[in-house]
Amino acid sequence: MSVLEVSDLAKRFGSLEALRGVSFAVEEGEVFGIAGPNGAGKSVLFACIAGFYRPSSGSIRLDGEEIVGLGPHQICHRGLVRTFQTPALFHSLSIRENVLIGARFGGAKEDRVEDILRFLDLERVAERRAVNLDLFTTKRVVLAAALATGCRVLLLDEPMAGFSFGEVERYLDLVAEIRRTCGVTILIIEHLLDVLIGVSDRMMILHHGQVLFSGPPDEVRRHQGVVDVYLGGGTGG
Amino acid sequence: MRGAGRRLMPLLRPRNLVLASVGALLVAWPYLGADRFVLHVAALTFVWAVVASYWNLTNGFAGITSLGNMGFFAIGAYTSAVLAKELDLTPWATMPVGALATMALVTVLVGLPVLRLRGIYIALLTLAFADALPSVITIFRAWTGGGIGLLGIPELLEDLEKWQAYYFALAFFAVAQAALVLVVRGAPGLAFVALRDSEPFAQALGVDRFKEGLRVFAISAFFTGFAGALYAHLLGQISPAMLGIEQFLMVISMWMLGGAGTLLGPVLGAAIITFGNEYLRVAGSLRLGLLGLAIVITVLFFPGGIMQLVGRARGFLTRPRRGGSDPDTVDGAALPVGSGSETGEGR
Repeated sequence: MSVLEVSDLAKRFGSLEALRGVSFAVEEGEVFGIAGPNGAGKSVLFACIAGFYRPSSGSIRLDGEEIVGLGPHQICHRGLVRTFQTPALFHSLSIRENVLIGARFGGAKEDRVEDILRFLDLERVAERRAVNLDLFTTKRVVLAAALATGCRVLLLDEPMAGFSFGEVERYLDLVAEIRRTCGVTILIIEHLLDVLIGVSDRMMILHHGQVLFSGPPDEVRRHQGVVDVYLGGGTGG
Repeated sequence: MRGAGRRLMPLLRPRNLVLASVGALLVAWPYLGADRFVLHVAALTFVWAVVASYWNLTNGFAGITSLGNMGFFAIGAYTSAVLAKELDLTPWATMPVGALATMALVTVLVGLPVLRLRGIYIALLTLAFADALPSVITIFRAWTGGGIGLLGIPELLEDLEKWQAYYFALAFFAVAQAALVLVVRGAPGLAFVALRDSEPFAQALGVDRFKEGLRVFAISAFFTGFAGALYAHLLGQISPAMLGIEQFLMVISMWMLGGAGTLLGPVLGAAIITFGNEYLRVAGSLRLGLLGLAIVITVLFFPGGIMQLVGRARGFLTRPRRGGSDPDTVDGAALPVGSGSETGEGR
């Protein structure tokens, strides 16, 4: 059974149709990559799935249960957590407290916090306030807090934006490790197409709020529609 | 033995020792020659410190721009005073009733609608709530005394002495502050600060904005209402003037001057403003101008209030002179100003 099923999802803001009839399913333990030009509706899709926006129509099922209409905290309690393109940590709290919030309010056990800090190599800086951190540390804190909720589905919105090549590689290693050890299903929005192709089991390309492509990553570059509207002459990534 | 010693060590930190000394001094003050006037002002300071601290809980810690806290104060004061006077009940029974009534009314009338709003609209609605109360007081003038106010409110004890009032207010202050520390340092405080710092991220991690918002209003209203009730029975008279702009600005100034988002700041602010307000009466009409000037200077140059100054002083004294890194910075970057961040005293 699919862990996440999105059917005929639409989201309208007045006359603007941000999502139009989007349907896809994600299997348990999968890494599902999502890409598309700016304004394609990728972040709106995440916002709808995670309960930040109420879809205009359509259905979203998590483990077979409808989650449309639930608030973000309720969806988190059911095991789905999203991160944001621009990470905003709880800057007046320590890194440990940032992670503790995930464990305490996400419904997981608080003794996970130490393991997660160790897992993401944040132990050494755990008592520091979560302010003025470098981007890679910030993104690791975000990941740690999300994992501390005990989530089974993780939505990562452009997690590697602003990274150096070295940081991208280290982050991809982390994603692989999370998938291997935690068994978390991961949906990633990313503009770095090569990276996304490398990490994903399946991919979806959105354009103007519609699914332009859905399938195996190695077919993305051969899809004429993707080449026309996204890659522009066959280059990308 | 060594284990017990290790457990006791945190209690012997300089800050805890200073707080314990100040506490002992406050307990001993009436025996150290403080006159009746000073004890009276000190008792009022304790009351205002609680009001300012719990206003700071909604605004400083939870980041909800409530401007209606003087309304909470008035509801507690009038409920307890009217019950004690009309039904001839002891204030010891009516004060908790006043606090509970405030909590219930505020949660239902303010919390529920307000938390569907955001930002400036919350400020406007809470302000409108407090602003409507003088009219309500006038409508029920048979009980409330209308615009003239309510006189002859039963005191806490018969022929209450100033030193007794001082100790009652001190005890209430101590309980309220202990409760505030528990709230701020516990799970609710963590949720409030998380929602203030980054609401979407907090919600994504399972924090229920609506529930926590109601909780902060309920807690703040209970203690502010209790403070209002105590105020009424300490003074023996209340009037709608407590909902006036002067009182409103005074209490807001207390937590702003002391430092929003800190535990100690509003207490220091309450002490400075309450005593300053009394002792500057010799300056006549200049009194409010001088207080206002002090606040403007603080806000302009130290937006984190007195606690920011304290934090800077502490940072200066503890900063390594050569080599080493600042423990509160990462990659050599400095901390931002305000919200208790520099003091390490808030969340």
